[in-house]
Amino acid sequence: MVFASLFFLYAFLPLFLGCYYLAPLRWRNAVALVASVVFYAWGEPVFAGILLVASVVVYLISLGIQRLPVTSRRPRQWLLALGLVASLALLVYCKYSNFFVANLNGLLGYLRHGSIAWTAVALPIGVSFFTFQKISYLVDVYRGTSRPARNLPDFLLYVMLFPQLIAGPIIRYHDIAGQIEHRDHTADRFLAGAWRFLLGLGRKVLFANPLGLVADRIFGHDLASLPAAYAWVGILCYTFQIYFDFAGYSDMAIGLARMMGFEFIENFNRPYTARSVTEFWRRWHISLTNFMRDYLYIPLGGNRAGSSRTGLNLWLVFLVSGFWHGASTSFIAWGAYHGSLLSLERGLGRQRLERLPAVLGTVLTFLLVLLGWVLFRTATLADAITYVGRLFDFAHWNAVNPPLDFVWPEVISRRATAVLLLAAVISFLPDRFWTRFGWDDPLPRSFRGGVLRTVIAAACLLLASAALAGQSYNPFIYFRF
Amino acid sequence: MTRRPWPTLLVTLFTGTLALVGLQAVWPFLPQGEKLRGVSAEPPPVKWDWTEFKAGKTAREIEAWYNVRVGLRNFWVMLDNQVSYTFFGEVNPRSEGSRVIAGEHDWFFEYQYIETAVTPSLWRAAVPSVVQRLKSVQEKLARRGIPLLVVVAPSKVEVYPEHVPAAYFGGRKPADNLSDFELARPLLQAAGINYYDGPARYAAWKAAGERNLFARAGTHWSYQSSLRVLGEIRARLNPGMRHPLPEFTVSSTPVGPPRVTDRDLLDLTNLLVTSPYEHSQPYPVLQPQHAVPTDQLPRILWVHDSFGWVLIDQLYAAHAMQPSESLYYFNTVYRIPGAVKQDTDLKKIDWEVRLKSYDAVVIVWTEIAFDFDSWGFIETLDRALP
Repeated sequence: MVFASLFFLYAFLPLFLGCYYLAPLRWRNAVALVASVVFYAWGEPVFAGILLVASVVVYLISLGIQRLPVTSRRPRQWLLALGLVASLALLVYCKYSNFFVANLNGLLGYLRHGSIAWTAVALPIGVSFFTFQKISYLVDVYRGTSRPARNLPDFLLYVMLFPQLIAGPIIRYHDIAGQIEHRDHTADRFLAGAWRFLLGLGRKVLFANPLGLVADRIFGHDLASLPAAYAWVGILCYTFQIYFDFAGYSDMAIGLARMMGFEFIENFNRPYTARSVTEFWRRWHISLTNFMRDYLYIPLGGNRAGSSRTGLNLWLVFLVSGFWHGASTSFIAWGAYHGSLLSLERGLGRQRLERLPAVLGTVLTFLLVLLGWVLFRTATLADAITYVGRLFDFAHWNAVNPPLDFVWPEVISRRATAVLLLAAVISFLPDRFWTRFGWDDPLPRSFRGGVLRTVIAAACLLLASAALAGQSYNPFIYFRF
Repeated sequence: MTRRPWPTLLVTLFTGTLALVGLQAVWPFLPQGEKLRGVSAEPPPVKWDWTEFKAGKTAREIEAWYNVRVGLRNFWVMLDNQVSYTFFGEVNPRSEGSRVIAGEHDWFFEYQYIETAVTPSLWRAAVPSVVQRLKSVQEKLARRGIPLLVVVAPSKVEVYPEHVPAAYFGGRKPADNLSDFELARPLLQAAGINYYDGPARYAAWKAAGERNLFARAGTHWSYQSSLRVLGEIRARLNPGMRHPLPEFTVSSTPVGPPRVTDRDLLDLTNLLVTSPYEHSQPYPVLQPQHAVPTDQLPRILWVHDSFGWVLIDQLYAAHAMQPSESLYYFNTVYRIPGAVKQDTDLKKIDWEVRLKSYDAVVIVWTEIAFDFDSWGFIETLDRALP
């Protein structure tokens, strides 16, 4: 099930909220867990079983780790390794086996050694996220940062809590353990959650979806003959689509959790205003960056072993991050690209970068990130190289007599153009603008601010519902046959 | 500590809205609002099947079922369309169905007509053989005393290209592109096919300054111009008919908001408010004739696309034709007047017998489409009639 659907908005959500708030306090975790299982099983019932079994295994291992005395270092390490392997095995099998087999078959074909017969493995939705959550739990318990969950339902709730189950934010166990045991349910918190949820809904449905349509159309075209103007529009739309989509989803997740009394970590902080790629990664997918820092970068040695080693560590972390995003050479290249940029920035020194005028720094960073999104969006590395080539082929700026399905109004409507411009304005407004109006505060500071928020939230709900309903109606003038 | 009522009130309003809209899907206690216009496919029924459930198909079917029933759906669809049209002058694109393109000053066009107007014909090679078959059928019918008339209707895009947003032509011009009909025209003339050249007539009328040939909001010829077509068809058909078409008399021509086919594209846009875009059209009122008794009126077999309906309706309004049959796209049989769908299997018709009761066969198709074979009707007749 997805948040941005009429079924979720007007069937699942009211039903869940009704059951949750009518239940006595001690039953609310159980209601949330059952709803989370239904939410996940809705589209993929089989995978829900796999997720449950995998979670039980991790929970049992965590109990084993906790029961062993801290002095039994080696057995605890073995148990931790077992838990990590068990968690990662599911991820590797579901997400990467197709990729590895395809590449192996390519190699075998090249060497004329036939190929491996393989039935493609289906990818359980959200597997990358809940794998990281389980890793976070195991490591926290091993390090003693957190005690294991009181019981299995508490642990299952941590892994499966539906607001974050599909696409994060990646919640670390020690951040939420206390909230699972006790949290406050107040009208103010609920209202703050509803505001955040509706804002996210608006970002997703009113911005990301129409921009996605434009990007899909352009990236679906023959890339080799793509005029530069189209290529720029395509990547600009994708750049804002991915931000509004992901940040919108995170808003919805944070908002839903808040409605249930939970407080999740922020995941985005106006990343396109960053003045360097390093700053961009402090603002983009913050929960992943934190996870990578705590569970990979620091264990690799972090910045404690000289500048060359730090650069290499950064590069390796981003390589893994790229591969985590998707099983393809494009994602690996995307990770390597960002890792290289970060290492380069570190090599250049922060002071030099800070001497750049703010606008220049923001524009340069945006362009570098935008070029990275080409790798992220195209299916293969070769496609990405072709696309970048089209971006800078200014001799073929516009199409002469384009195919009719590729004339400008077919590619980008006036409404989508307005959405793109508005998305750019919203994305580039500096932090001080938003803080001045108290936009980031969970609740408005004044009555006037409250009215404004209510109007914006109502408009988001109304227009997003309209857009979702509109997509479901495709009338014919007459049925002919 | 003072309790503020606002948060509780807003929370109640928010959750109440979600719940009420949701309940409306299963318990429609609020009126659904104006019906959505246009023809659309119903989602397939939900199948309660274990295999489908495991594959997640049941969930998708339930969502599809819910999406068309959710409360206020019609209002939302119209609101989304209104936002696009009012603020951006656009009609929302659709993933399927008929696409409507909006030009300046509320001129609407069906996208298919724009596309065809500037796309080279794919059927060039097939045209000669189809014209020959048409000639063969015309001769066979003539031997039975039944005239055949092929009415070629003009495309609104070809008549009014200046109202189509130029970007949609992608630098091309409809005038530079030969339509299927334009390719066939010399062959039809050479073969002596009895056809009515709607595109040429409309071009001439437009050049002479005639207005309202098409309504801005419709895709078909207007009521006023189609009446003129009927007059010319009558002149062309009558010499060969056993029972000629009587004269039509127009009692008055009031002007009013567009009706029926004159607003089919506007209707298809499903806007909340349409009145600002309803530009007035003249509507000739036909005086039913009584000079010719009903049994002396002609019985005409119509094989047609949607352009044919206006002609048929006007003939019956003038009481100029006996009850008959319409073979819509040679796929669905309607009893006319009234367009009552018949459960007739076209493959089982004995054409020799069937045609005996008709005074004429009129085929109506549009210039943009390669419908010369009349959706298989001509080939069927050519095979069925010795």
